[in-house]
Amino acid sequence: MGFPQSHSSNEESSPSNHRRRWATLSSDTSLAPFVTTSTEKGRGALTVTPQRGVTSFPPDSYATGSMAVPVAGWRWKAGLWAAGALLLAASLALFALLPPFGGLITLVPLALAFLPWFRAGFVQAAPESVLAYLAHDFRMSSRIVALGPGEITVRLDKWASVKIRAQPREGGSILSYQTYATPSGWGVLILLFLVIWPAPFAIIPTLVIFHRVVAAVERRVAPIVREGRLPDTFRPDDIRVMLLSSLGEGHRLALESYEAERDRYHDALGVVVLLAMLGWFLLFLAFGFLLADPDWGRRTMNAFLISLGGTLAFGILAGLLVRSRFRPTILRHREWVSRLETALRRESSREPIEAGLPGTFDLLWRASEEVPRWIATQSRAGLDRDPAIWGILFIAAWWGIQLMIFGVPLLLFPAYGNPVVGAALVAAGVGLLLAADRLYRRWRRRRDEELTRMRDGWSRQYDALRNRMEQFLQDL
Amino acid sequence: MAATSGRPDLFVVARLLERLWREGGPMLKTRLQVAANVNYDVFSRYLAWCLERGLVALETSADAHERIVITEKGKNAYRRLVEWMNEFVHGRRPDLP
Repeated sequence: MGFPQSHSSNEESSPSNHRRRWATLSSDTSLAPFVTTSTEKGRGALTVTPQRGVTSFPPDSYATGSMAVPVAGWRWKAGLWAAGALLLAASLALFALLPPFGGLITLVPLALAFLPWFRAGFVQAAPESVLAYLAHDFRMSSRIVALGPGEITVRLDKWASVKIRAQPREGGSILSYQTYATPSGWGVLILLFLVIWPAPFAIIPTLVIFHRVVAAVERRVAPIVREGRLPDTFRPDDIRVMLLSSLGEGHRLALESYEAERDRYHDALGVVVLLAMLGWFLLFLAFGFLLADPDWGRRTMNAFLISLGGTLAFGILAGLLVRSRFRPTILRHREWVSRLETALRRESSREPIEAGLPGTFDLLWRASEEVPRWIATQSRAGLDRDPAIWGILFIAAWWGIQLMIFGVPLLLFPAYGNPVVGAALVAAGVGLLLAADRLYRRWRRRRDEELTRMRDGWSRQYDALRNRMEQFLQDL
Repeated sequence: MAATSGRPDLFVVARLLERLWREGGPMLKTRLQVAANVNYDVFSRYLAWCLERGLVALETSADAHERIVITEKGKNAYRRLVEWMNEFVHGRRPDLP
């Protein structure tokens, strides 16, 4: 496969963002060994100097000579989008020939984009150091980074994420990456496939996500792969690196909690709207029958107005109740997101802290006191925050019910068809529903165990940490 | 005050060290006190405590103003606190007893 040379996400492609990014790169001493600056025809250019003999990411043609960033990667982009257009046309054609399931052919490019781990190259550094460097570099540009065992997951924008894995090899690490999506991105893709009819158009978000992932890898991972090592100026135990790491992790936790609570709020409002609509319909029917007015038209109008009034009263009251229930928690989480985001930006740009404002250490300590609330919020979020499991459960339940709807008439009324086929369909439907139930129970048990362990361990570790720090100062 | 009667207040010490580390050079006493957000009595006692342990040092500049600068020991102490905090935030157990 090919790789793009340019960086074309909406956020990164605007002139102001390029200027900001250029200024950040120019001032980031950790990238100094790779980056030189020059001014040509009044425009600043960053030049990444590759090193010969380093592994082949991006393709070898890119690793010879010097490369300006941003560079014109129109060939790669044009190729990718041309392939996307062809795939879209092919899936639409299949959809027309075999409606509606022909459109599911789009699952093939989806699998090709999301399932493989693409090799990025070799770096002469331990996996932990490489991942720490990449996490730091992504955080410097305000990306959300989650650290996992042997890999990091970086949220690039509203839809796109990337997983980067570092595996130990003799004398260094092999880097590879996988296209991934945020919960919103997965939600969009799953919705398109669940509804089935718009499935061919899933090629568009798939390409957008893939494009952004490869652009981010090109920008962040390619420089260290070309150089074959980490910048000499990068030290994982540097105070600023650790402060940025802590702030980034705190910001991620706060943001995920905020989003989880906001989603629950929207879900609750959705339930209120659905209940109100259902209530209006039932009230309308009930009053339509109960009202004694002999004029059918007037009776219908009265039933409509009474049911509408009752529905509106219920909707407004329930909506206000839901709002008052969720608002304090949402505002609290949002405030913490904002505080940590500001601190993160200040720390990465090395701005001084204004007098009277808390220092980064103070802020981190106060933020860590919020962790139990964030854990509690995420524990209430349920399947909202795990769209992949949600999608599997939905598909299993949906098809389980469909098979039973088809199978029960065949089983009960032999005149409609073969009862054996009916029994098989019912058995398959019941099997799918049982599997969905089992999967959900197992998912919920694991999640509850993990959250309980996190919550219980947290307060004990919090006290122990404080004692340890105070004792350390006392012993100096 | 904690600094004389027992354990020092972790946050006041961390605040002083952080401000001096960020400054990167000598800092006027009054500026440091304002930045640390403590009153003069508390500031003086914590400053004495830090000086006693070699975390900071006093410098008298040409204009006769006393300035405070963080020492290597002070930087290392602050680095250790940040390191533990970093591990804690990431859910890793810092080497706690």
